[in-house]
Parts: sequence; C-alpha cells; structure tokens
Amino acid sequence: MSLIPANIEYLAFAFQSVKGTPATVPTMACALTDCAVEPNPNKVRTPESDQSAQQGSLIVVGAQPGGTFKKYMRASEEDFLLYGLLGKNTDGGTTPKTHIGELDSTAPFTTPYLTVWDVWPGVATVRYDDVRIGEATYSGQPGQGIECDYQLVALKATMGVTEPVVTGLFATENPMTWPELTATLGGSHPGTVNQFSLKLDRGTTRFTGDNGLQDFDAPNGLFDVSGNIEIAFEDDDLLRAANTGSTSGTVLTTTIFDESLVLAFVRGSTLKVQFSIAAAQISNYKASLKTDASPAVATFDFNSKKQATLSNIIQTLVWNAITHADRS
Amino acid sequence: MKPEAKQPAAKPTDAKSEQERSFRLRDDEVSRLSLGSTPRISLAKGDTYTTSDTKLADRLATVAELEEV
Repeated sequence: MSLIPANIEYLAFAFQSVKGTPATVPTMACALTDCAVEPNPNKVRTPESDQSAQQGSLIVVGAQPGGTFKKYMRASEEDFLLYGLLGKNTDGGTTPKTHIGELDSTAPFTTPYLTVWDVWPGVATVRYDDVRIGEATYSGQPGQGIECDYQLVALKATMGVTEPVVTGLFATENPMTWPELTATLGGSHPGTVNQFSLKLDRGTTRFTGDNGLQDFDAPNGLFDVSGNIEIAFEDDDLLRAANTGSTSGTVLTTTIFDESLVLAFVRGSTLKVQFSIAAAQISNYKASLKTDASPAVATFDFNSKKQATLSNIIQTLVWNAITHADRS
Repeated sequence: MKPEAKQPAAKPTDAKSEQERSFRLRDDEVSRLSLGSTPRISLAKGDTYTTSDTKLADRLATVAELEEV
C-alpha cells in the first residue's frame, strides 16, 4: 500500500432509462473542486437504563446516500447537469450544438434519474443509483472562475464496484471565467454587476417507506429560482423599484417590481451557458457605506416570479460541440 | 310487413384504451427531445415514440415539440 494524492477524485454520470435500473457505463465525467457525496448510513444512539456507565448502543436506522459536489462551470458539462436538474432538454443546432433546458410543463415535478460513480482511481469506486439532482447554485465574482455547487439525492449506494472507463468523457475546455459574464437587467447591460449567485432548487426530499435501507423515492417539491447580485450604486432606480414597485416611485406600495434577468457566460461562438429569467422580482436592496471611499455598491436579492408559462421561470441555453445533452 | 333489421349500435370513437399512440418531433430543427419521466423518454429526429399508456400519451400530446402520428 502506498500514499495517494488527494486531488484525483472525480465523478462520472449517466442517465438511467428507468428508476430502479442503474446505468452500466457513464457518459460524462467531471473534475471537482470539492466533493461531499457519501453513502451516509444513519446511526443513532439508544439511550436507556444501564448500570455499566456506558453510552447506549449505536444502531443503523436508515440511509441517505448523496451529498454535494463543487466544480467549475463548463459548457460541455452544464448541458448534461441542467437537463438532470430541470427535467426537459431540447437539442438542436449544428455549430454550435444548442441545448435548451427548462421545466417540463406537462410533468413539472419530474426529473430523470442518474447513476453516479464516485471514483478515486485505483483505490475506491462507489456507485450511487436512482440519483436526482436536487439543487444547483452558480456563483462568481471578479478574478475567479465561475463555480457550481450541485446537490445529489440518491436512493442506493454500492461500494467496491468496478472502476468505470471514462476515456473521452471529460470536458477539455477551460472553466468559464468572470470576464465571460454579461449580466443583462431589464434588457440593458449596465456593465456594473460585480458579483452574483443563482440558485435553482427543486425542493427534493425523501420518502422512506418500508424498503430496508433504501428510500422509496426522492420526489421533487416546489421549484424555486433565487439569487443575489452586487452592483454599483450609481442611481436610485433599483432602490426605488425594490421598495415602491417602480423605478420612479416615491411611496411604499403593494407592487413588487420585476424585470428580466439574463446571465450569459460566452466564449466565442461555440461555448455558452446562459440563464434567462423572464421576471426577476427584486427585494432587500441595500447600498453600503464604506469609510475607505471605494466605489459604492448595492446588493439585492431576486427570485423568479410565479409564471403561467413555465419556461419563463428559468430557461437555460448551452452551446457546445456535443450533439445531445443526455449523451445518447 | 317485415320489421327492419336492427343496425348494430355505433361503437364509441374514443374507446381506445388498449390502442397504441405514436409521437415524433414536430420541428426539423430539433435533433432530440429528452424528458424526465420514468421510463425516461429521449426521442431523436426521425424516430417515433409509441406507447399504449393512455395517460402518458395524453401528456405527450400536449408537449409543444411533439406531434402525434
């Protein structure tokens, strides 16, 4: 036995055809910046009377395989993961290939199941079956690559599986960077956004049932799109809008201001990851005093307004050279 | 006078719970449509998806990217 470097772990993924039947080989693999995906058997103490001065025994009462992983944003990976998160993907285009992700308006609670391999090459491989992507958070600030934080909810974990073959499954492009972001608010690009975070939350929970250590299902709950932006404080338009419902308002009203929001990460004419929200409601607008006289900035929260057309809640557009987001 | 022979009762036109229904991509610009159901539906351009599940067929009939054939 010998020491191994701690930076070799990766995750590999494939979409399952049906719940309950794991995929046999992965179709996408990605490098990680952090990984906390574990088999997670649940253990509790059993406190009861005891004359021996010992703690109660540990017992296994269930299991919640899954966890979170972090990665950099890449157009050749996010098409796959966004389809898994949102539930509907439409492929098209030639150069670039295009992938449109959105909720399936005919079955908005459904998303596909994945098989996920957690691999330490040459050392350990754990396979997670019937996995749903429950949540994704994208964030960035100047001087950094764009970060993605995904949550996986799995029904089953199997240790000691054969290490998968992942030749050709890793993306080869560099991660998306801050300079590749264009933030468009209300149809305008002010060029003064200095930080963002965007969370897509499926509200995924677990239904345990009576199936031994394997939960019966991981159903999706209510879908929420929210985030936060830091922007230069140059005028009081958004301050007024967030509080009065209008950029020219003066008194508090019951109107909630909203405007379109597009976050587009673009590299040339072949790579793009774009998030479009038709109506982002703005709240908690705060301009901050700085005693060092650096430029004034404001932060605000946003959430996607409830919509009759589900593609208006959020629609993602990814450009890359991959024909199909599900890798079929 | 002979009574007229009774005509057989007309069969209801929507009693097709066992009949298969087929769908294909409506738009030539779309190369594949993938949905989140289980079994997972992933339909390529030129292919036809057929199902005898009435509820699923009714749902697919409302998907904008699909047309029933």
